[in-house]
Amino acid sequence: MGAMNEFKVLDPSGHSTSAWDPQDLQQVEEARKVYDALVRRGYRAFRLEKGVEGRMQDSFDPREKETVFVPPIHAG
Amino acid sequence: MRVEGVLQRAVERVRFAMAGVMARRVARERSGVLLVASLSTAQRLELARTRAFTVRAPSGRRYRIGFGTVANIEAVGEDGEPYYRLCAGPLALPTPAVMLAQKLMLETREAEFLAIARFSTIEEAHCARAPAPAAAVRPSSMPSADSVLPLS
Repeated sequence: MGAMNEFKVLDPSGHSTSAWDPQDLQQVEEARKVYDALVRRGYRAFRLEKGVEGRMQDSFDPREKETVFVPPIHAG
Repeated sequence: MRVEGVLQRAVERVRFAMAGVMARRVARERSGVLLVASLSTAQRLELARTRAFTVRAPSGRRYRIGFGTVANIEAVGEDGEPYYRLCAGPLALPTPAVMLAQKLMLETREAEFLAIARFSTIEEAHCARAPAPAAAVRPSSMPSADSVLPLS
């Protein structure tokens, strides 16, 4: 098993993390399904790099080490 | 027996409330760790010093995100002077998670965020005005508060 990639979904507990192996095609396919399901529900995906500006993700990229999902934004 | 029942229910209610308080504290700490990890060194120092940090958006405009979830974003000039407030964010998240969401949105999806957000003057504690995206997303130097918040 190689280094794991992570999805972090912001939620009331802070965030929920799920890890998946980018070398495992089955896990990559599962991760793609999760990604697409969250985006369909209005979540925005961002690549997170420690200490630098976040980067928007327009589509699933299995090479991304850490992806943060932000729930839909509402006017305050 | 009846008094015991009442007391027992009261104890259960207190226990339930305490569990909620603990869960919220843990959630705030977890999301605080993620927020701090996503900040640059300068932002981290600013947050520690002022409980706020500044981000630069694609338009070049700067926003100061304060610790909070309501009316906690200020559009600021190069000198740090605040021009107006923005209110928008995800619902039902711990405060640091809301701030992280606001940071990511403003750094990468500024126009989308401004189209959703409500605006207010710096003096107002709550945002009550509808979006003014035409003025707000103009990629130029910081507009005056009057141009973004026309008096109605």
